[in-house]
Amino acid sequence: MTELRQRVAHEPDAPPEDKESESEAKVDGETASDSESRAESAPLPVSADDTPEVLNRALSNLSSRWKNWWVRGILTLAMIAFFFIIIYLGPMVLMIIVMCVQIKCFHEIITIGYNVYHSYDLPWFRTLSWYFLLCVNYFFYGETVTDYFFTLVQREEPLRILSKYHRFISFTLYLIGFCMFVLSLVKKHYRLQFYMFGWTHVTLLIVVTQSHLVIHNLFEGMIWFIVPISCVICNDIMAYMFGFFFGRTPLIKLSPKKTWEGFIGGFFATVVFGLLLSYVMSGYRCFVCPVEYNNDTNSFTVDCEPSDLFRLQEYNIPGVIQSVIGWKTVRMYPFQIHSIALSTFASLIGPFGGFFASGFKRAFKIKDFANTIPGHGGIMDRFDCQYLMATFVNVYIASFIRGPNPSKLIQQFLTLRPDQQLHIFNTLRSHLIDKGMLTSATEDE
Amino acid sequence: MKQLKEYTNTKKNISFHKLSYLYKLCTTNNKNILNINKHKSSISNHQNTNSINVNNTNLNENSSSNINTNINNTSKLQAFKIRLYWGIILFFFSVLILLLGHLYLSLLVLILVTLVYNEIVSIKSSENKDKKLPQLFYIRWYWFFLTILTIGIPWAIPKLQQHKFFIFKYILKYHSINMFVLFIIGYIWFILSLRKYTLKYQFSQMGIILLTSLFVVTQYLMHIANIYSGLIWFFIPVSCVVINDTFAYIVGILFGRTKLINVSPNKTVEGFVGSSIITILWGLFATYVLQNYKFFICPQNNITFIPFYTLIHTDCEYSSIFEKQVYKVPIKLAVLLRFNKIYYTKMVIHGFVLSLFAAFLAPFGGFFASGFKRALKIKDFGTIIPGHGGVTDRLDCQIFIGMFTYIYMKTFVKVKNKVKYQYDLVIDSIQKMDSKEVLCLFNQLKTIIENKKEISKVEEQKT
Repeated sequence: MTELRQRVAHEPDAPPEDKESESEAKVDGETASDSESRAESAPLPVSADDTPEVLNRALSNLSSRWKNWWVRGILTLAMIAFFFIIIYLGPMVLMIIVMCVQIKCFHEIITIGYNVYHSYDLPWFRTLSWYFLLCVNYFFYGETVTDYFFTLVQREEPLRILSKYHRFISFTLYLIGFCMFVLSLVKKHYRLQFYMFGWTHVTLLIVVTQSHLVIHNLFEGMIWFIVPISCVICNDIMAYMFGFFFGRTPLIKLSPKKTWEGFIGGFFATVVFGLLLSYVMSGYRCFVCPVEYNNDTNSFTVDCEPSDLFRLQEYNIPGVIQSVIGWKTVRMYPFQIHSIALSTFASLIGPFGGFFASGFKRAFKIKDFANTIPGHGGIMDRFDCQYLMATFVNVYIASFIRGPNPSKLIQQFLTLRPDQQLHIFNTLRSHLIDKGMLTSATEDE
Repeated sequence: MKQLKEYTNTKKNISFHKLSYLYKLCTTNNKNILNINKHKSSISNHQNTNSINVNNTNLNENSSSNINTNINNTSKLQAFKIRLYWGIILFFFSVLILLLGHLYLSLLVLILVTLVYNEIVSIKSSENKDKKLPQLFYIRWYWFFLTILTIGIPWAIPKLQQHKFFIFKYILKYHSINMFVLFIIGYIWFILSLRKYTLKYQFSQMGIILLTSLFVVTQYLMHIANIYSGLIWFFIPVSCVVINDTFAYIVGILFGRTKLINVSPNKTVEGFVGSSIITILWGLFATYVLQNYKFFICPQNNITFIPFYTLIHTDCEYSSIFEKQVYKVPIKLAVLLRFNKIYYTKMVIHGFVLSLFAAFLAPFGGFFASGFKRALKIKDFGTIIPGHGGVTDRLDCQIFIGMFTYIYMKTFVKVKNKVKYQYDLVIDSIQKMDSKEVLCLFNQLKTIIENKKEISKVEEQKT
């Protein structure tokens, strides 16, 4: 039953939209047993009892099932609105939201660990978990800043020193944390302390790396952030709908409510949705351009000349489809072809994240990750299908799309020997002159 | 005649029992008599004192007959003899491997990593549950090889340049997505293998697999990168840790009084301080001596399978860290010491830092491992080495020093062998860029080079 809830959208960074779409799905087809169990789950720690008083009074007339439905619906709308506001506010706010969501997810999973192992009172341990989180975040943020803001970093003296010794400093901080852990081992609690240590590290691995990859994607252009997440959300909703209307054969034993019809139907629907969404979004510069730091104005700008990927091109339709549709060519953005790959991944591999989370919950006998969101579970419940989407997009961009980052290239260039630098420079110059981009008159050396 | 036969039989039985008892003492997990180090002979302090204590208590518990006290004395002597014997064997073995060259040393590290992984991952595994989950064995090793590939390929492929298989270029270029695909396959495999009644066990096993791969395997793989930067970067850290262990034990036996930490009740403060001093001195001494031998300091840019390669071809550029520098001792000290110049090289300072790390932070690895063993109520990680438990028991103090050396080298020591690879990387990247970006890059490079030319002109004018 909890699976149903998770099946619907999840975003690591835009909680609003997920919760909304998820609750929409719930609202649409929630089975009687499901909502009743939610209402009945009041005695369990993870209950829907933290709905705000306002809502409670307003909905006091309705029966528990409809009340639940309305609570979710209202929260859904609230989340959608929140999502649009954040997108409007721009990449910086989005980054901060990502950070907050990451911290909340970490907190939720650690709390589960405490509950599972009954280890809430371990000496030092809470401090240490947050310390490790801080270390790993420092490492990743430092890498990001060094990569993308190279010129800014070179300018400011303290930043330059920090970035030069960055890995060493992060490693030292981590070691300090490790030594503190060893020193804090108390005789009776060894086992629990080691379990929590392991639990913290696995959580860090899963949650923090994903969120940083999301930020990397964001820097490539907001479209690389919005389209994958929306595809996952859409896949959940569509799989649910198809399953509801046509579902017959069960998909996997872990999640008994999933069906093959839902899975396949969701796949096709997601691909179509991805194509449409990317068509709409590719037209706007603010989504397509990479986020860059402008040295002069000391702020972030999202303004550029769109690259080839986002310019309309004519494609010839193969003969077979030509006869069906009647068009000879179609104008598409090349990005839409990439969006097919993204949607395929979202619909085929995304659900496995949901299976993983439901297996996890069953293994540790918990109903929800937390009860942050009334009507839904915690934030991790919303994000479980997105576990690997961010990683996939990042790897995809790095392998197939991104040209090398010019500032990184300059960094590498500076590490070469002077004669090699001159050699490259001269080769480049002759190459450009051949191409006609440089006239020899502009060379004044 | 019959009586004589019986008498000889019983005598044989007694001696047989004695021998079998000794054999059991030597080989069971619980009795940490022997102490065998695969790198150099080292005598681990806590294990040995543990072993003597355990030995005594066990023997007292068993019986109080004469045989046992005799066995006690003879077994102690036996223990030392066997320890010394195996220690010498391992010492020569490691020297041989060291001479064979970089590749064989790396292979040794790989084998040790495999053994360590095997031991740690089998700690929490239960026999009957594993029978129900036959795929778990394959999943464990799959993730192990995935980790090795992920870390090893970007490092190894540039070193295989001389073979010029054109597929190498594509493996390197699409490395991330290849590894990601393999990762997804492993992930889906794990999810599909989840069974209803063993869910918690499978998740905890997966957690152990992930953590071990990340922490243990990665750290030890760094040693291989260090080996290829110059044998000295492997020898100095590892030998410092070994010396630290050995002398902590010896000094602890001789002078030990105050307890150091709760987790390891057999460590003493005197042992810790004494071994730190000795480790630092050893680090300085070894660096000073070994840096004169090209065999140790030359980095290798290619992977060759020829044994004893480095003994034959020792030729490399003399990096600046090995140049002699002079430190002028202040006059007051000079009068005291009767010389006024100290010749040192930067490498000695690096050796000093590494030995500091080995002295002060490496023992934490040992504390962590012994805390871990106490937490899980096991005596040893494994039983491969007779009398001393597993490979992990010997290598536990080395857990962070590989990574520390690697990061330290990257940050503070400019190792020149990277330059060729960087050059190709730059050329490659430029070819991937489209023309507008190339133009932009060109302009930026122009300003950089012009600045440099100005600076060099100014410097020329000064001199």
